[in-house]
Amino acid sequence: MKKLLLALAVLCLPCAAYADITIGAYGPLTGPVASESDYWKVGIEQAIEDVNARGGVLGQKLKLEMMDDACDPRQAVAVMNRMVTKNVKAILSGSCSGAILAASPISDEVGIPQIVTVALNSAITDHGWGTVYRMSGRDNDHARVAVAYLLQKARGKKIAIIHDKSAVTRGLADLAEKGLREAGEREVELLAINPGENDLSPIIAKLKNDGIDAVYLALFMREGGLFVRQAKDQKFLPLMVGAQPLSLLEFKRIAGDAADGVYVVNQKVPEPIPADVIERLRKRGHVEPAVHTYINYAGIETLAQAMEQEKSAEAVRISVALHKGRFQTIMGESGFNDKGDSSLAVGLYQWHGAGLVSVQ
Amino acid sequence: MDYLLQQLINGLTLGAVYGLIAIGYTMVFGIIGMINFAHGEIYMIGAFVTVISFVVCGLTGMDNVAVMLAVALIVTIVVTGLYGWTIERVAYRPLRNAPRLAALISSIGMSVLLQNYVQLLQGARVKTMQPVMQGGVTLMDRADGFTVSVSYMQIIIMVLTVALMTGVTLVIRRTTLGRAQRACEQDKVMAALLGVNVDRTIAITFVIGAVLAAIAGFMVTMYYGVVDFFMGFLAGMKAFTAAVLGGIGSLPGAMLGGLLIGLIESFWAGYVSAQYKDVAVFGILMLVLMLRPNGLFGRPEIEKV
Repeated sequence: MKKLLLALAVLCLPCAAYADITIGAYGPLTGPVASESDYWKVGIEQAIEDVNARGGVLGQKLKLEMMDDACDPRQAVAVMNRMVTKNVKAILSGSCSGAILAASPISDEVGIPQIVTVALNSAITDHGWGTVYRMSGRDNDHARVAVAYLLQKARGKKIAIIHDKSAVTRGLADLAEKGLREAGEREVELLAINPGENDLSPIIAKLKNDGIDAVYLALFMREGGLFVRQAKDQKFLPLMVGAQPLSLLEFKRIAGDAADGVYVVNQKVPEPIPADVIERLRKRGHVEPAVHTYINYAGIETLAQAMEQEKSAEAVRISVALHKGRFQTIMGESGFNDKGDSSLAVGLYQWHGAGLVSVQ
Repeated sequence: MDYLLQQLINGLTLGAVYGLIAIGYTMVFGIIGMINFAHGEIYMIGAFVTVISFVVCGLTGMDNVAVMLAVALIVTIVVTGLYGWTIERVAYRPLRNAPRLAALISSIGMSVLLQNYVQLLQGARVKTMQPVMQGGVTLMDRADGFTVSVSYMQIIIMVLTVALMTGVTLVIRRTTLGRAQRACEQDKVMAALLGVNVDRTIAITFVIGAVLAAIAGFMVTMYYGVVDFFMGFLAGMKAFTAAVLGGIGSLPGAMLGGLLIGLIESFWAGYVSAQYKDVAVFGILMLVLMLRPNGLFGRPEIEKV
């Protein structure tokens, strides 16, 4: 009898494993923007731990399947193929628009819902997959805020826009240029640099010589930090407005004191984040939590609530809930429109000392 | 004119770094007739050791920037020099009498190995360093507010490069070691018969090349403040291009090649387009090699019969 019970217990072990709800997550854990994972990875992991500590979802625990796309579209396709075979019920994706655009057709084909947390390229939701949702604002929201501020402070002056030819920065730069030209600005200069470039002094000298008064930096942390640092060295101090990646501490670390005063268009944190959540995120991560951390935390909260609302952990049901539901997360209340874009707002911040302050 | 001067300063700074790395390529080629493709990775390791030294200095409570700089520089030189010596012992000496192709493959393998080794050990993320030295000197002020300035770091890079270049030239022209190097370059068997320790001379050449690359890595870390495991690849390619442009095997050629590449990059980015400056560099290299296959200062190889 004892042997029979033992055999039954052993047979039930895999049953217990299958009872978990597997959530997939992918993004750049290695490669040029790997440092962003200090934020998004920590947010996802902590949210899953917190949901499980509260009893899980529908009486089951959430299990995380994390994979590295290295911000490379080819690797992202391979990652998504593996993700699909792991029986994931929903997916959270990191910060590289190009990788997400390449991988999304695969998850869409099998109907697995995907929440994109911080990638901005409009094409992600404009494509109309129906299973892809986005927590952050779109690139046109971000570019609109940047353009509005540039027009407010530098109307009629010379404005330069710099990008690094990647899907997201190119998109932001094109939208900003279009916005400025439509507003009647004539002296707008669009420039591109090579990704991974260290020496930006020739381009800074060019902007200085052209008498540029304001610069929109559609760049990642590394190139953005180097630009600001080398601009200060060359005594080129225009009004600088940066894209979302410049909100991360790595930008500040590279730029040093030169980061002070740089404006950044970033996702708004609508209400104070609970202190206990911040504390847990701090303990888990190596860096101070940022909007990237919170928005990924909110992504897992959204998925958990979607499953609770539909009382199902089936991919199709989760997608239905995401379409029609409203969700209370640490980022405030939000939902998704028909395209899949979130109602969370975008705002303007400025670097002061070690942190960002909101600009009214 | 003032804009041209600013781009000249920017180009010379960049070129000085390429030149220092290029000397390592050219010295090794001169003495064993082989391209050391792992040299870019040596430069990358130099940059990493600089960051680690600074972190360790900070952890030990050191707060004098000058002392930290000196300690970091010495540690970088010693550790990277050891890497240069070890690489020669492990990857090149066993293949001394093998066909050239074997040594070439070995050097490419060593380059991949070092890159992956640093990635595994230090992670794939970019390591950053706060600026240690900021500010500079304004050389000219234009009426519309354009200023020609040179930062203190740019001055240090140029001065240090000139000093190192002079030092290496003196070592090769005036010392016993230099004579031994020149002897090995001409005929290793004859040099050995005359009492020159060929293996030791070659090993020291690798160490000198590694030390120069380490100093370039140190200066780049101070100047830009970012380091990653992949940085050696493009810098190595550009420095190799510089060595070929100047005439591989020629010391002044390597330095001139480095400066030329730095200037081409700077002027192309400043006057034409920043996104196509690498295309310009390699395009000009192809043109020069079509017109002068041995580079600017290279001598055609004469086969003895």
